[in-house]
Amino acid sequence: MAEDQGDIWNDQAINLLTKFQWVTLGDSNVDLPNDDGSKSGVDQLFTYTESLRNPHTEGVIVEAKRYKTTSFSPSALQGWITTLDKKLNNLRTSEELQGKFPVIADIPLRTGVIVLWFHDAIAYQSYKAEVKSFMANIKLGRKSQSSNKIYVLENDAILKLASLHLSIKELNSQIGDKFKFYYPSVDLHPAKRSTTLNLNYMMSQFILGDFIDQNSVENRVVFYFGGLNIEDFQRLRHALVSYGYSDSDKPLIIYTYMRDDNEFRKVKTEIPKLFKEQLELREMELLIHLPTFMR
Amino acid sequence: MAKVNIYPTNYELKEVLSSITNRGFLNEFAQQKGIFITHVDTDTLAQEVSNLFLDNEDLEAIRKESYQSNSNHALSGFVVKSTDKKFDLKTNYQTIFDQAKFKFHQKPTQLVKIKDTNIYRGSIEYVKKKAGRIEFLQDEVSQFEFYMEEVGPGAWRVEVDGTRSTDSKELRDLIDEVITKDTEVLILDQALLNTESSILFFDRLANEGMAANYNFKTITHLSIKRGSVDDNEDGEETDVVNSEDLVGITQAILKGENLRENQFVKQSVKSGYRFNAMTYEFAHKTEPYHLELKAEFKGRPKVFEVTIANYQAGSGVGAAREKAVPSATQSRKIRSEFWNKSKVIFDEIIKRK
Repeated sequence: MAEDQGDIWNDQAINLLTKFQWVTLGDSNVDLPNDDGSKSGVDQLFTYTESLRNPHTEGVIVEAKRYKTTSFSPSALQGWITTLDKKLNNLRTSEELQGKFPVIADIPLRTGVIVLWFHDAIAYQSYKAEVKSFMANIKLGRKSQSSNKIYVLENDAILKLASLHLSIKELNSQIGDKFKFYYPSVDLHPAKRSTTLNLNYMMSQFILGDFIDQNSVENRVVFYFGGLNIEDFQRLRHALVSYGYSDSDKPLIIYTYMRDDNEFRKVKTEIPKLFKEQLELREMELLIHLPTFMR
Repeated sequence: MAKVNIYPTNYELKEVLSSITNRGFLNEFAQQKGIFITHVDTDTLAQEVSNLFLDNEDLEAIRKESYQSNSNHALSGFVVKSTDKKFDLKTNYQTIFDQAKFKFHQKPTQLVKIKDTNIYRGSIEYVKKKAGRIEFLQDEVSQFEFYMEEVGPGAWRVEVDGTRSTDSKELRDLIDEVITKDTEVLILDQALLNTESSILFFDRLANEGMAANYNFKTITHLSIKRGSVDDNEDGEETDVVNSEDLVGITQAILKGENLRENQFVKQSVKSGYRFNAMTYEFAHKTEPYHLELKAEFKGRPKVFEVTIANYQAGSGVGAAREKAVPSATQSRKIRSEFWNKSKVIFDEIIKRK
């Protein structure tokens, strides 16, 4: 039974990432050949297109973990991260793997994602501070070897992504599927638009995007996961100016995620005054359980 | 209070993050967000984190850490003395607080009496513009604590535990608003020492400044300055004394010789230099602690302050010493004791009662 639930969660996690144009490589739940001939069990191999700075494709190993808060321990998390780090090192130089998936020979395979779902989602709400503390105290290897990037998406991050997908889906139904993520210009690399969401955005507090409406006007969209007081919006406004994303001729839609009804109500009327452009505030759905599209 | 919510550029954020000396903060910041970069140096990790699109809360945490990481707590102070034996600084401060007599850029707190003592603790937050810095860090909010205690009829000692030489002046300016003509503020001002007495002052600190449970070991740093004490920093010529001459100075102190007879000191005095800052290494007599205390005249006017420059602990006899961090209370106690003994020496030298 536990294994069945684990497999189901694996499919659900894959389902979520494919909503953001991540592409699966091969089957799920497979043993992949290491460079020394041994095998590494991998839940799913993915590729996605990175658009921030220099556009390129990245290979990613995704591991799906499903736990109850009372069964979880920091040593489990430490073990997963250490193992995933080793898997990345052992797989990227595997001739056999490159033979099986030739694309691996041409792209970096240095990224791992652990999608960790606590299925007692209500209990997680009071447990998450402890999870954050476990994460903060993970010890990472500092050997002089290739560096790997490992990301842990737990309930909050998973539900943010699910909610983001729901909002984009609804928006796309109104605008004819024209929404794209916007990757601003950084370090002289030009700005890029893409339907693929990169990992950097997944871990960020706001995500930029845009679409051209039926009147051929570019609309700018911000999915914002930060706080809701006036200082938070002042900072957000400054961020948009700083990324050259504030334009008085282009309507701006800000989707907020957090809920702070009392405080937000007090400042809500002040927020449009901060922005020079026509501003519309919309709310994203705040989720506690997995939405139906993932189940 | 004015506060600007600047959003840093990617470059600024990377620079700020990589300048934070506390690698633990950077790791924790990334890892709490679910980002684990293995086998990586600080610069590369800072680059990764700077790619994130952060909110106000994240940026404030980075800004706060950056200020703390780049500043060392210095203890200075002054005495407020009145001919009116009933003078009560605590009540005067209360007036400032209750009637909001503080300046626009200042935000003082209510005093708190420290349990089982007659010491009152307060703190002041103030905005300070730092020209030429990365814009994200330019409008800096500084904060310091102070401790006031009545040390005699009409006399109050105030210790300021801050990170900037301007902290003490902020509090003195505030107190100036309410004190009357019969009250004076006595500071340890370098202008009150001539070249010879400044040498005597630093000389005596080596053996008399520290608590009795520490032994003086060596002088690890000495800076000397030429020019008028009243000059601003730019108008002064500063020299850091080389290690060979430091050995000679340490030997003279250890042997109890008059430091002014030391060849290097004689030459410095002849060339118009005065002692400005000295760092002393002390070893605890019974516990495996070594610490370096920096005694320095700083700011305008040049006021005496004490900083812990280095603190090391060894795990046993002959064990290698490792950098350690004293608790905030321990750190304040060490610096307070040194500052108070320095004040006694200073007052003796200038014959102030």
